[in-house]
Amino acid sequence: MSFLGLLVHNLWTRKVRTLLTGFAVAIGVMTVVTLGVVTSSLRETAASVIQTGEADFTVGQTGVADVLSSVVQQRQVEELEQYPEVESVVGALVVVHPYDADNPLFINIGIAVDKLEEFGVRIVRGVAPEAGSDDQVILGTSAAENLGKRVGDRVVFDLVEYTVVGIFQVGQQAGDGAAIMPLAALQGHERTTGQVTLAFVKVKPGTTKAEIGALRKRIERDHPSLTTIASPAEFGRVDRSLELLSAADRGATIMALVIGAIIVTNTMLLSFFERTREFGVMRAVGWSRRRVMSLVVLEALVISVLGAALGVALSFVATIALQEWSSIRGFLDPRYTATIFWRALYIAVGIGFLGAIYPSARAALLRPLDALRHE
Amino acid sequence: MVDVVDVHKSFDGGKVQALTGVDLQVEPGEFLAITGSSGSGKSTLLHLIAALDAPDRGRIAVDGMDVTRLPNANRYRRETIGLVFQLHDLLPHLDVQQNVEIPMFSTKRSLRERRAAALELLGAVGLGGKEHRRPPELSGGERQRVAVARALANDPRVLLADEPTGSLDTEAVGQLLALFERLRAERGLTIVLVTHDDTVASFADRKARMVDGVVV
Repeated sequence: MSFLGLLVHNLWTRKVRTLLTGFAVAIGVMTVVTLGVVTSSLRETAASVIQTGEADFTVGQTGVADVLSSVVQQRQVEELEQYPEVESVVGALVVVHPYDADNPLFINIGIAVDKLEEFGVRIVRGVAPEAGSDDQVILGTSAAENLGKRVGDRVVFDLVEYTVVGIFQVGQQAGDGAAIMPLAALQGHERTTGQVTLAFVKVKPGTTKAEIGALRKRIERDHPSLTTIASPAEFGRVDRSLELLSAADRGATIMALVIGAIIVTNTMLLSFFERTREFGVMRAVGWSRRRVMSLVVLEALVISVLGAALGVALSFVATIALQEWSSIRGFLDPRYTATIFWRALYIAVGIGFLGAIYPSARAALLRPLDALRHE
Repeated sequence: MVDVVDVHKSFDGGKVQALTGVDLQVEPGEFLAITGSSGSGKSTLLHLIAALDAPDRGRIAVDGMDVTRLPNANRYRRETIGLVFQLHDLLPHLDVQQNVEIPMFSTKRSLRERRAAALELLGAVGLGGKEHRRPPELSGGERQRVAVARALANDPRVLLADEPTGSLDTEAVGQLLALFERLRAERGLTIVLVTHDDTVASFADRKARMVDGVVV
């Protein structure tokens, strides 16, 4: 019998306790992994939004809690176009309205028709809306599928009826799940004439990263009400909710570690009290303190790793269930990257190790004689 | 082989004097029985020889090693001595073969060598064919024989047995003592056995009687 064989045998002999503890660890890991997948997916969606149309950076209003509350004046968009490094600026008005029970958060985007191509919009069926029209719309490929609409169909957004004149693709989930109409039409319907939500800035070819950085600083200095973002990490400058979600993710990880460690400690301590004579015999026949400690720590680690594997499996189920939740459908595109699995593993190892420290120390420091006298 | 010189041991901060100036020598290959009533200090002496505890003063040497100054007590208990307890103390969730292999973990033997050694020992104690039984499935005498096999796992020079017949019936006692004698003859073991039973002690080559912590 190998040491590993003894370890497995010990866990199998107490299988109910092993399973229950592993399940508790699994719940913690499931929570952390699912939250991590959701946060990472939303962050990626945010990243794809700010990089729509291959923009070098995006401009929004300073200090807003939610990017959809950002207001950039159209005259500011025109001022941005005057910077010598800037090749083009596309102002986009983004509003969210409920469409139906299955689509409670449907994105409508207003863009000047002549800026569609710059914005990365590719018409795959039908045509673009006519400039000046106020009742024509194009739907993203995912939106058309979700709403069951084709070119020529009628669709109603916020009590306004539109004709679907085309289907488009921008190559990112949020965009392909939206509807685009002429900017002036949406501004009119929303009573936000002269305003957009975000401005997508493309610099001239050959502009270096340092020059882009300097440009962004100048823009923010010249327009204190505006903030520029060039990467998902900076998204928090125009949207606090993602930062809150990330903070919740970190908090959940710490809680899972602490609670998981407490559960494992409890299990290993119970096991220690039951096996006091067993540890005494092992020490009496020549086992070193280190070997006894290793046995206890490894048992805890195996329980935790098995729990983590189950937790990741449960997380798959949880994420599928979340995707069915219509409120975030279209925003959530979960991807189980290697990072997710590594995270589950290090949480499991952390839980197992922290949970085993005290019980293994007690087992190792046990005097063989005292243990042999234990009833 | 075992040399105990002027050993003193007390407990409870000196309030209980368990051993007072004990001197005892055991020759290589000898079977010594330490007898005495309960509380005479015989088990305490055995525990000191086994390095499970340390004397307050005095010297204990086993096979030339000063037991009171061991650099590695675990190795001593693993390789130099074998221990048999009154309550066998087998691990109930492991089978007989696995129990015998427990002391072999920290040795350099391969899995195959450990398995072979365990089976050989079980055969030597008359339990060949029962290697996959669990302790609860064995009689008291059989369990104690497994404990003896476990004590011999790493081929020790000295076997220390603390009241090994205490929970056995007459027939099992006879079988166990016969086993000790046979193993001593086959392996050249030195055996120190603690017992309160004079009948059991009579099987030994020599008896050392303890009264109130002193060898009389």
